[in-house]
Amino acid sequence: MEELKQDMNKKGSALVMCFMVITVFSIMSAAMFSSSVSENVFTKRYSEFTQAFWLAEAGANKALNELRISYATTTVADTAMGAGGYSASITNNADGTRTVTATGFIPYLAPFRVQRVIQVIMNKLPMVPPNFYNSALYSAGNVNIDGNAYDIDGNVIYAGTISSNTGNINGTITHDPTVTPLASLSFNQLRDISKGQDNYHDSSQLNGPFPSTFWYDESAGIPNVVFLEGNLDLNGKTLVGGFFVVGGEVIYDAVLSGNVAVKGCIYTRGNFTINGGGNALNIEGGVWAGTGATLHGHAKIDYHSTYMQAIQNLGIDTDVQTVSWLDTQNPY
Amino acid sequence: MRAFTIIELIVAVLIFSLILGGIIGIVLVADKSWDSTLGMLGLVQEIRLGMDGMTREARQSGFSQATVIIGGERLDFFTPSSGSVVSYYVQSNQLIREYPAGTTKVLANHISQISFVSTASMLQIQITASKTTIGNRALSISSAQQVKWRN
Repeated sequence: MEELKQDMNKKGSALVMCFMVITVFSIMSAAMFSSSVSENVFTKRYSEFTQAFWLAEAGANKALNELRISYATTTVADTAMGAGGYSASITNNADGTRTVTATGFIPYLAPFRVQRVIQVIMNKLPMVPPNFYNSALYSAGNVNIDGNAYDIDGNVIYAGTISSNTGNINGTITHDPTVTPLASLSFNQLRDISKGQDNYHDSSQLNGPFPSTFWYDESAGIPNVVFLEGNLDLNGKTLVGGFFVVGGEVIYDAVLSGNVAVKGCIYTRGNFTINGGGNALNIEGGVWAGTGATLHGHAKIDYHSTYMQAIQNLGIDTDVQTVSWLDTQNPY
Repeated sequence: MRAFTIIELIVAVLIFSLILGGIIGIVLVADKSWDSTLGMLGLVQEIRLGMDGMTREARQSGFSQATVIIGGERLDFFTPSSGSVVSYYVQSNQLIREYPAGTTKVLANHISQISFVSTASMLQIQITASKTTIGNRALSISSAQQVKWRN
Protein backbone atom coordinates (compact mmCIF):
# COMPACT_ATOMS: atom_id res chain seq x y z
CA MET A 1 0.00 0.00 0.00
CA GLU A 2 2.85 2.35 0.91
CA GLU A 3 4.60 1.60 -2.44
CA LEU A 4 1.45 2.43 -4.40
CA LYS A 5 1.19 5.82 -2.67
CA GLN A 6 4.81 6.58 -3.58
CA ASP A 7 4.15 5.74 -7.27
CA MET A 8 1.12 8.04 -7.38
CA ASN A 9 3.12 10.96 -5.95
CA LYS A 10 5.59 10.95 -8.93
CA LYS A 11 5.36 14.21 -10.92
CA GLY A 12 4.18 14.03 -14.58
CA SER A 13 7.07 16.10 -15.99
CA ALA A 14 7.27 14.09 -19.21
CA LEU A 15 3.69 14.92 -20.06
CA VAL A 16 4.24 18.63 -19.40
CA MET A 17 7.39 18.58 -21.52
CA CYS A 18 5.50 16.89 -24.32
CA PHE A 19 2.75 19.51 -24.20
CA MET A 20 5.31 22.31 -24.28
CA VAL A 21 7.12 20.86 -27.30
CA ILE A 22 3.84 20.26 -29.10
CA THR A 23 2.71 23.82 -28.32
CA VAL A 24 5.96 25.32 -29.65
CA PHE A 25 5.81 23.26 -32.83
CA SER A 26 2.14 24.11 -33.29
CA ILE A 27 2.84 27.85 -33.04
CA MET A 28 5.70 27.59 -35.53
CA SER A 29 3.57 25.57 -37.94
CA ALA A 30 0.70 28.02 -37.66
CA ALA A 31 3.04 30.94 -38.34
CA MET A 32 4.49 29.24 -41.40
CA PHE A 33 1.05 28.27 -42.65
CA SER A 34 -0.31 31.76 -42.15
CA SER A 35 2.69 33.32 -43.91
CA SER A 36 2.34 30.89 -46.79
CA VAL A 37 -1.40 31.49 -47.19
CA SER A 38 -1.13 35.29 -47.07
CA GLU A 39 1.74 35.23 -49.56
CA ASN A 40 -0.33 33.05 -51.85
CA VAL A 41 -3.31 35.40 -51.63
CA PHE A 42 -1.09 38.41 -52.22
CA THR A 43 0.55 36.79 -55.26
CA LYS A 44 -2.82 35.83 -56.73
CA ARG A 45 -4.16 39.34 -56.25
CA TYR A 46 -1.01 40.83 -57.79
CA SER A 47 -1.32 38.49 -60.75
CA GLU A 48 -4.97 39.44 -61.28
CA PHE A 49 -4.13 43.10 -60.94
CA THR A 50 -1.53 42.72 -63.72
CA GLN A 51 -3.96 40.79 -65.90
CA ALA A 52 -6.57 43.51 -65.42
CA PHE A 53 -4.05 46.09 -66.59
CA TRP A 54 -3.36 44.24 -69.84
CA LEU A 55 -7.10 43.74 -70.33
CA ALA A 56 -7.52 47.50 -70.05
CA GLU A 57 -4.73 47.90 -72.62
CA ALA A 58 -6.59 45.50 -74.89
CA GLY A 59 -9.70 47.67 -74.48
CA ALA A 60 -7.77 50.80 -75.44
CA ASN A 61 -6.30 49.06 -78.49
CA LYS A 62 -9.74 47.85 -79.50
CA ALA A 63 -11.05 51.41 -79.24
CA LEU A 64 -8.10 52.64 -81.33
CA ASN A 65 -8.92 50.09 -83.97
CA GLU A 66 -12.61 51.07 -83.96
CA LEU A 67 -11.69 54.75 -84.27
CA ARG A 68 -9.42 53.97 -87.20
CA ILE A 69 -12.35 52.31 -88.92
CA SER A 70 -14.67 55.21 -88.07
CA TYR A 71 -13.63 58.29 -86.14
CA ALA A 72 -17.31 58.84 -85.26
CA THR A 73 -17.46 55.65 -83.21
CA THR A 74 -18.52 56.15 -79.60
CA THR A 75 -18.99 52.59 -78.39
CA VAL A 76 -16.86 49.53 -77.97
CA ALA A 77 -18.52 46.24 -77.12
CA ASP A 78 -17.66 44.68 -73.78
CA THR A 79 -15.44 41.69 -74.39
CA ALA A 80 -14.64 38.63 -72.31
CA MET A 81 -11.02 37.60 -72.47
CA GLY A 82 -9.11 35.09 -70.40
CA ALA A 83 -10.07 35.21 -66.75
CA GLY A 84 -11.82 38.56 -67.12
CA GLY A 85 -12.77 41.11 -69.70
CA TYR A 86 -12.66 44.73 -70.74
CA SER A 87 -14.97 47.60 -71.50
CA ALA A 88 -14.16 50.88 -73.20
CA SER A 89 -16.02 54.12 -73.69
CA ILE A 90 -15.21 56.88 -76.15
CA THR A 91 -15.93 60.54 -75.44
CA ASN A 92 -15.78 63.28 -78.04
CA ASN A 93 -13.81 66.30 -76.86
CA ALA A 94 -14.32 69.89 -77.96
CA ASP A 95 -10.89 70.05 -79.57
CA GLY A 96 -11.68 67.12 -81.85
CA THR A 97 -9.76 64.55 -79.84
CA ARG A 98 -11.31 61.44 -78.32
CA THR A 99 -10.92 60.27 -74.75
CA VAL A 100 -10.97 56.51 -74.41
CA THR A 101 -11.58 55.16 -70.93
CA ALA A 102 -10.73 51.49 -70.90
CA THR A 103 -11.38 49.23 -67.93
CA GLY A 104 -9.98 45.76 -67.42
CA PHE A 105 -11.62 43.62 -64.79
CA ILE A 106 -11.56 40.16 -63.25
CA PRO A 107 -13.79 38.20 -63.33
CA TYR A 108 -15.87 39.09 -66.37
CA LEU A 109 -19.12 39.37 -64.44
CA ALA A 110 -19.61 41.55 -61.35
CA PRO A 111 -18.72 41.58 -58.54
CA PHE A 112 -15.17 42.28 -59.71
CA ARG A 113 -12.22 41.30 -57.60
CA VAL A 114 -9.89 43.75 -59.37
CA GLN A 115 -10.25 46.57 -61.87
CA ARG A 116 -7.72 48.71 -63.74
CA VAL A 117 -8.66 51.84 -65.65
CA ILE A 118 -6.55 53.64 -68.20
CA GLN A 119 -7.43 56.82 -70.01
CA VAL A 120 -6.07 57.45 -73.48
CA ILE A 121 -6.51 60.55 -75.57
CA MET A 122 -6.54 59.84 -79.29
CA ASN A 123 -6.48 62.19 -82.20
CA LYS A 124 -6.83 62.11 -85.91
CA LEU A 125 -5.04 65.04 -87.46
CA PRO A 126 -7.00 66.56 -90.34
CA MET A 127 -3.72 66.72 -92.20
CA VAL A 128 -0.03 66.32 -91.57
CA PRO A 129 1.71 69.27 -89.88
CA PRO A 130 3.22 72.09 -91.94
CA ASN A 131 6.73 71.35 -93.23
CA PHE A 132 6.08 67.62 -92.98
CA TYR A 133 7.24 67.21 -96.56
CA ASN A 134 9.82 70.02 -96.51
CA SER A 135 12.64 68.51 -94.48
CA ALA A 136 15.62 66.30 -95.09
CA LEU A 137 15.30 65.03 -91.52
CA TYR A 138 12.08 65.21 -89.54
CA SER A 139 12.44 63.72 -86.07
CA ALA A 140 9.67 63.52 -83.48
CA GLY A 141 12.38 62.77 -80.90
CA ASN A 142 16.04 63.70 -80.50
CA VAL A 143 18.67 64.06 -83.21
CA ASN A 144 22.00 62.58 -82.13
CA ILE A 145 24.93 63.22 -84.41
CA ASP A 146 28.24 61.50 -83.77
CA GLY A 147 31.27 63.22 -85.32
CA ASN A 148 31.48 65.43 -88.38
CA ALA A 149 31.58 62.91 -91.21
CA TYR A 150 27.91 63.41 -91.91
CA ASP A 151 26.29 65.78 -94.36
CA ILE A 152 22.69 66.93 -94.40
CA ASP A 153 21.55 69.03 -97.30
CA GLY A 154 18.11 70.33 -96.35
CA ASN A 155 16.08 71.38 -93.37
CA VAL A 156 16.02 69.58 -90.03
CA ILE A 157 13.04 69.60 -87.67
CA TYR A 158 13.19 67.92 -84.28
CA ALA A 159 11.00 67.74 -81.18
CA GLY A 160 13.52 66.82 -78.48
CA THR A 161 17.17 67.80 -78.46
CA ILE A 162 19.91 67.97 -81.08
CA SER A 163 23.66 67.45 -80.76
CA SER A 164 25.83 70.55 -80.80
CA ASN A 165 27.82 69.61 -83.92
CA THR A 166 25.32 70.86 -86.47
CA GLY A 167 27.89 72.51 -88.73
CA ASN A 168 27.31 70.13 -91.61
CA ILE A 169 23.60 70.79 -91.85
CA ASN A 170 23.02 72.94 -94.90
CA GLY A 171 19.51 74.13 -94.14
CA THR A 172 17.39 75.53 -91.36
CA ILE A 173 17.29 73.76 -88.02
CA THR A 174 13.96 74.02 -86.23
CA HIS A 175 13.07 72.88 -82.75
CA ASP A 176 9.34 72.16 -82.67
CA PRO A 177 8.00 70.07 -79.75
CA THR A 178 4.59 69.91 -81.45
CA VAL A 179 5.84 67.47 -84.09
CA THR A 180 5.74 64.71 -81.50
CA PRO A 181 4.14 62.24 -81.76
CA LEU A 182 5.05 61.78 -85.39
CA ALA A 183 2.02 62.28 -87.64
CA SER A 184 0.77 58.81 -88.26
CA LEU A 185 0.24 58.09 -91.96
CA SER A 186 -2.44 55.53 -92.69
CA PHE A 187 -0.68 52.20 -92.80
CA ASN A 188 -3.75 50.55 -94.26
CA GLN A 189 -3.59 52.79 -97.30
CA LEU A 190 0.16 52.44 -97.64
CA ARG A 191 -0.08 48.65 -97.33
CA ASP A 192 -2.69 48.53 -100.06
CA ILE A 193 -0.59 50.64 -102.40
CA SER A 194 2.55 48.60 -101.77
CA LYS A 195 0.67 45.32 -102.27
CA GLY A 196 -0.71 46.63 -105.56
CA GLN A 197 2.86 47.38 -106.64
CA ASP A 198 4.16 44.04 -105.36
CA ASN A 199 6.40 45.98 -102.98
CA TYR A 200 4.90 44.64 -99.75
CA HIS A 201 7.23 42.78 -97.35
CA ASP A 202 5.89 40.86 -94.41
CA SER A 203 8.07 39.93 -91.45
CA SER A 204 9.58 36.96 -93.31
CA GLN A 205 10.69 39.04 -96.31
CA LEU A 206 12.39 42.03 -94.78
CA ASN A 207 15.60 41.67 -96.76
CA GLY A 208 14.03 42.49 -100.08
CA PRO A 209 14.43 42.46 -102.97
CA PHE A 210 13.72 46.18 -103.11
CA PRO A 211 13.26 48.41 -106.16
CA SER A 212 16.35 50.19 -107.42
CA THR A 213 14.56 53.37 -108.45
CA PHE A 214 12.24 55.75 -106.65
CA TRP A 215 9.64 55.68 -109.37
CA TYR A 216 7.03 53.02 -109.88
CA ASP A 217 5.64 55.01 -112.82
CA GLU A 218 7.70 58.09 -113.41
CA SER A 219 5.50 59.49 -116.18
CA ALA A 220 2.48 59.37 -113.83
CA GLY A 221 4.56 60.57 -110.88
CA ILE A 222 3.86 57.47 -108.78
CA PRO A 223 6.62 56.30 -106.42
CA ASN A 224 7.38 52.77 -105.34
CA VAL A 225 5.81 52.37 -101.89
CA VAL A 226 7.83 49.73 -100.07
CA PHE A 227 6.03 48.60 -96.91
CA LEU A 228 7.95 46.53 -94.34
CA GLU A 229 6.28 44.84 -91.39
CA GLY A 230 9.50 44.99 -89.42
CA ASN A 231 12.98 46.49 -89.40
CA LEU A 232 14.62 47.95 -92.42
CA ASP A 233 18.18 46.66 -92.73
CA LEU A 234 20.08 47.57 -95.86
CA ASN A 235 23.28 45.68 -95.06
CA GLY A 236 24.67 44.26 -98.26
CA LYS A 237 22.50 46.40 -100.50
CA THR A 238 24.04 48.90 -102.91
CA LEU A 239 21.17 50.77 -104.50
CA VAL A 240 17.53 50.85 -103.48
CA GLY A 241 14.73 53.22 -104.28
CA GLY A 242 11.20 54.10 -103.27
CA PHE A 243 9.20 55.38 -100.33
CA PHE A 244 10.14 53.01 -97.50
CA VAL A 245 7.47 52.68 -94.82
CA VAL A 246 8.92 50.83 -91.87
CA GLY A 247 6.89 49.03 -89.24
CA GLY A 248 3.34 47.92 -88.62
CA GLU A 249 1.30 48.66 -85.57
CA VAL A 250 4.33 48.08 -83.40
CA ILE A 251 7.26 50.47 -83.50
CA TYR A 252 10.27 49.08 -85.27
CA ASP A 253 13.71 50.48 -85.78
CA ALA A 254 15.26 51.28 -89.09
CA VAL A 255 18.92 50.35 -88.84
CA LEU A 256 20.94 51.24 -91.89
CA SER A 257 24.59 50.38 -92.28
CA GLY A 258 27.10 49.89 -95.03
CA ASN A 259 27.74 51.47 -98.38
CA VAL A 260 24.25 52.04 -99.67
CA ALA A 261 22.52 54.57 -101.89
CA VAL A 262 18.85 55.18 -101.18
CA LYS A 263 16.94 56.97 -103.90
CA GLY A 264 13.87 57.96 -101.94
CA CYS A 265 12.49 58.55 -98.48
CA ILE A 266 12.15 56.57 -95.28
CA TYR A 267 9.28 56.81 -92.79
CA THR A 268 9.52 55.03 -89.46
CA ARG A 269 7.51 55.47 -86.27
CA GLY A 270 10.50 54.07 -84.43
CA ASN A 271 14.14 55.04 -84.22
CA PHE A 272 16.25 55.90 -87.24
CA THR A 273 19.87 54.90 -86.85
CA ILE A 274 22.68 55.10 -89.32
CA ASN A 275 25.73 53.06 -88.41
CA GLY A 276 27.85 54.45 -91.22
CA GLY A 277 31.30 53.54 -89.95
CA GLY A 278 33.90 54.07 -92.68
CA ASN A 279 31.39 53.41 -95.41
CA ALA A 280 29.00 55.81 -96.96
CA LEU A 281 25.25 55.92 -96.82
CA ASN A 282 23.55 58.34 -99.14
CA ILE A 283 19.88 59.04 -98.83
CA GLU A 284 18.50 61.19 -101.58
CA GLY A 285 14.99 62.11 -100.48
CA GLY A 286 14.34 62.53 -96.76
CA VAL A 287 13.71 60.82 -93.47
CA TRP A 288 10.87 60.83 -90.91
CA ALA A 289 11.74 59.31 -87.54
CA GLY A 290 9.15 58.66 -84.84
CA THR A 291 11.26 58.41 -81.73
CA GLY A 292 14.64 59.81 -82.74
CA ALA A 293 17.44 59.86 -85.27
CA THR A 294 21.05 58.85 -84.68
CA LEU A 295 23.76 59.44 -87.26
CA HIS A 296 27.13 57.72 -86.90
CA GLY A 297 29.96 58.01 -89.40
CA HIS A 298 29.63 58.84 -93.07
CA ALA A 299 25.97 59.63 -93.47
CA LYS A 300 24.53 61.85 -96.13
CA ILE A 301 20.91 62.91 -96.39
CA ASP A 302 19.92 65.15 -99.28
CA TYR A 303 16.44 66.60 -99.47
CA HIS A 304 14.74 65.83 -102.78
CA SER A 305 11.70 68.01 -103.42
CA THR A 306 10.41 66.03 -106.44
CA TYR A 307 10.35 62.78 -104.45
CA MET A 308 8.64 64.52 -101.53
CA GLN A 309 6.03 66.05 -103.80
CA ALA A 310 5.31 62.66 -105.33
CA ILE A 311 4.75 61.18 -101.85
CA GLN A 312 2.52 64.09 -100.89
CA ASN A 313 0.53 63.58 -104.08
CA LEU A 314 -0.33 60.06 -102.98
CA GLY A 315 -2.84 61.76 -100.68
CA ILE A 316 -2.28 59.42 -97.76
CA ASP A 317 -4.69 60.02 -94.87
CA THR A 318 -3.52 60.48 -91.34
CA ASP A 319 -4.27 57.68 -88.91
CA VAL A 320 -5.83 57.95 -85.48
CA GLN A 321 -3.01 57.92 -82.95
CA THR A 322 -2.45 58.08 -79.24
CA VAL A 323 -1.42 61.48 -77.95
CA SER A 324 -1.68 60.89 -74.20
CA TRP A 325 -1.81 57.77 -72.01
CA LEU A 326 -2.73 57.83 -68.35
CA ASP A 327 -3.05 55.19 -65.65
CA THR A 328 -5.91 56.64 -63.60
CA GLN A 329 -5.08 54.76 -60.43
CA ASN A 330 -2.21 56.48 -58.70
CA PRO A 331 0.03 53.81 -57.18
CA TYR A 332 0.78 56.09 -54.20
CA MET B 1 16.12 -3.32 -6.81
CA ARG B 2 19.61 -3.13 -8.23
CA ALA B 3 21.34 0.05 -9.49
CA PHE B 4 22.48 0.71 -13.12
CA THR B 5 25.97 -0.38 -13.97
CA ILE B 6 28.46 2.20 -15.23
CA ILE B 7 28.40 0.54 -18.66
CA GLU B 8 24.65 0.90 -18.86
CA LEU B 9 24.92 4.59 -17.95
CA ILE B 10 27.63 5.28 -20.52
CA VAL B 11 25.65 3.53 -23.24
CA ALA B 12 22.50 5.46 -22.28
CA VAL B 13 24.38 8.77 -22.27
CA LEU B 14 25.93 7.98 -25.67
CA ILE B 15 22.59 7.09 -27.22
CA PHE B 16 20.98 10.17 -25.75
CA SER B 17 23.86 12.36 -27.01
CA LEU B 18 23.53 11.01 -30.51
CA ILE B 19 19.78 11.63 -30.54
CA LEU B 20 20.24 15.12 -29.11
CA GLY B 21 23.00 15.90 -31.62
CA GLY B 22 20.73 14.89 -34.47
CA ILE B 23 17.89 17.01 -33.16
CA ILE B 24 20.15 20.03 -32.69
CA GLY B 25 21.53 19.59 -36.23
CA ILE B 26 18.04 19.49 -37.69
CA VAL B 27 16.99 22.53 -35.67
CA LEU B 28 20.07 24.47 -36.81
CA VAL B 29 19.45 23.65 -40.48
CA ALA B 30 15.78 24.54 -40.11
CA ASP B 31 16.71 27.80 -38.40
CA LYS B 32 19.16 28.68 -41.16
CA SER B 33 16.59 27.89 -43.81
CA TRP B 34 13.90 29.84 -41.97
CA ASP B 35 16.21 32.81 -41.56
CA SER B 36 17.22 32.82 -45.25
CA THR B 37 13.72 32.24 -46.57
CA LEU B 38 12.22 34.93 -44.40
CA GLY B 39 15.01 37.33 -45.36
CA MET B 40 14.66 36.57 -49.05
CA LEU B 41 10.90 36.92 -48.85
CA GLY B 42 11.38 40.35 -47.33
CA LEU B 43 13.76 41.39 -50.09
CA VAL B 44 11.40 40.14 -52.80
CA GLN B 45 8.58 42.13 -51.27
CA GLU B 46 10.73 45.25 -51.10
CA ILE B 47 11.71 44.90 -54.77
CA ARG B 48 8.13 44.19 -55.75
CA LEU B 49 6.91 47.27 -53.92
CA GLY B 50 9.50 49.53 -55.51
CA MET B 51 9.37 48.07 -58.98
CA ASP B 52 5.60 48.03 -59.21
CA GLY B 53 5.21 51.67 -58.24
CA MET B 54 8.04 52.81 -60.49
CA THR B 55 6.94 50.91 -63.58
CA ARG B 56 3.34 52.02 -63.22
CA GLU B 57 4.32 55.65 -63.07
CA ALA B 58 7.20 55.63 -65.55
CA ARG B 59 5.03 53.84 -68.11
CA GLN B 60 3.06 57.09 -68.41
CA SER B 61 6.09 58.99 -69.61
CA GLY B 62 7.99 59.02 -72.90
CA PHE B 63 11.51 58.92 -74.25
CA SER B 64 11.64 62.66 -74.85
CA GLN B 65 10.10 63.36 -71.42
CA ALA B 66 12.53 61.29 -69.37
CA THR B 67 16.15 61.80 -68.42
CA VAL B 68 18.50 59.23 -66.95
CA ILE B 69 21.23 60.93 -64.92
CA ILE B 70 24.15 60.20 -62.59
CA GLY B 71 25.36 57.21 -64.58
CA GLY B 72 21.94 55.65 -64.80
CA GLU B 73 21.18 55.77 -61.08
CA ARG B 74 18.50 58.43 -61.20
CA LEU B 75 15.46 58.84 -63.41
CA ASP B 76 13.64 62.13 -63.92
CA PHE B 77 10.49 62.23 -65.98
CA PHE B 78 7.15 63.90 -66.63
CA THR B 79 3.75 62.29 -66.99
CA PRO B 80 0.55 63.80 -68.41
CA SER B 81 -0.76 64.41 -64.90
CA SER B 82 2.44 65.22 -63.01
CA GLY B 83 2.90 68.87 -63.98
CA SER B 84 6.43 68.83 -62.60
CA VAL B 85 9.30 66.38 -62.65
CA VAL B 86 9.05 63.01 -60.86
CA SER B 87 12.34 61.47 -59.71
CA TYR B 88 13.41 58.01 -58.59
CA TYR B 89 16.77 57.24 -57.02
CA VAL B 90 18.45 55.27 -54.24
CA GLN B 91 19.70 57.01 -51.14
CA SER B 92 20.98 55.34 -47.97
CA ASN B 93 19.74 51.95 -49.21
CA GLN B 94 16.23 53.29 -49.71
CA LEU B 95 14.37 53.69 -52.97
CA ILE B 96 13.14 57.26 -53.00
CA ARG B 97 10.39 58.87 -55.05
CA GLU B 98 10.68 62.63 -55.13
CA TYR B 99 7.59 64.53 -56.23
CA PRO B 100 7.21 67.42 -56.25
CA ALA B 101 10.82 68.60 -55.88
CA GLY B 102 11.84 68.43 -52.24
CA THR B 103 9.05 66.05 -51.17
CA THR B 104 10.35 62.53 -50.82
CA LYS B 105 8.71 59.21 -50.09
CA VAL B 106 10.47 55.96 -49.27
CA LEU B 107 9.15 53.23 -51.54
CA ALA B 108 11.37 50.35 -50.48
CA ASN B 109 14.16 49.53 -48.05
CA HIS B 110 17.32 47.44 -48.42
CA ILE B 111 17.80 48.63 -52.02
CA SER B 112 21.52 48.55 -52.66
CA GLN B 113 21.61 49.38 -56.35
CA ILE B 114 19.42 50.68 -59.13
CA SER B 115 20.08 51.37 -62.78
CA PHE B 116 17.97 52.90 -65.53
CA VAL B 117 18.58 52.64 -69.26
CA SER B 118 16.33 54.63 -71.55
CA THR B 119 16.02 53.65 -75.19
CA ALA B 120 13.81 55.12 -77.87
CA SER B 121 10.85 52.92 -77.01
CA MET B 122 11.67 51.29 -73.68
CA LEU B 123 12.90 51.96 -70.18
CA GLN B 124 14.95 49.22 -68.57
CA ILE B 125 15.08 49.11 -64.78
CA GLN B 126 17.32 46.88 -62.71
CA ILE B 127 17.12 46.78 -58.92
CA THR B 128 19.27 44.91 -56.44
CA ALA B 129 18.14 44.45 -52.85
CA SER B 130 20.56 43.23 -50.18
CA LYS B 131 20.57 42.73 -46.45
CA THR B 132 22.18 40.79 -43.62
CA THR B 133 19.82 38.60 -41.65
CA ILE B 134 19.61 38.22 -37.87
CA GLY B 135 21.65 35.07 -38.31
CA ASN B 136 24.35 37.19 -40.00
CA ARG B 137 23.70 35.77 -43.46
CA ALA B 138 24.24 38.08 -46.44
CA LEU B 139 21.35 37.93 -48.89
CA SER B 140 20.99 39.63 -52.26
CA ILE B 141 18.49 39.47 -55.06
CA SER B 142 18.11 41.36 -58.34
CA SER B 143 15.17 42.03 -60.57
CA ALA B 144 14.90 43.65 -64.00
CA GLN B 145 11.94 44.94 -65.93
CA GLN B 146 11.36 46.68 -69.22
CA VAL B 147 8.69 49.31 -69.55
CA LYS B 148 7.34 50.53 -72.84
CA TRP B 149 7.07 54.30 -73.00
CA ARG B 150 3.40 55.15 -73.54
CA ASN B 151 3.73 58.87 -74.23
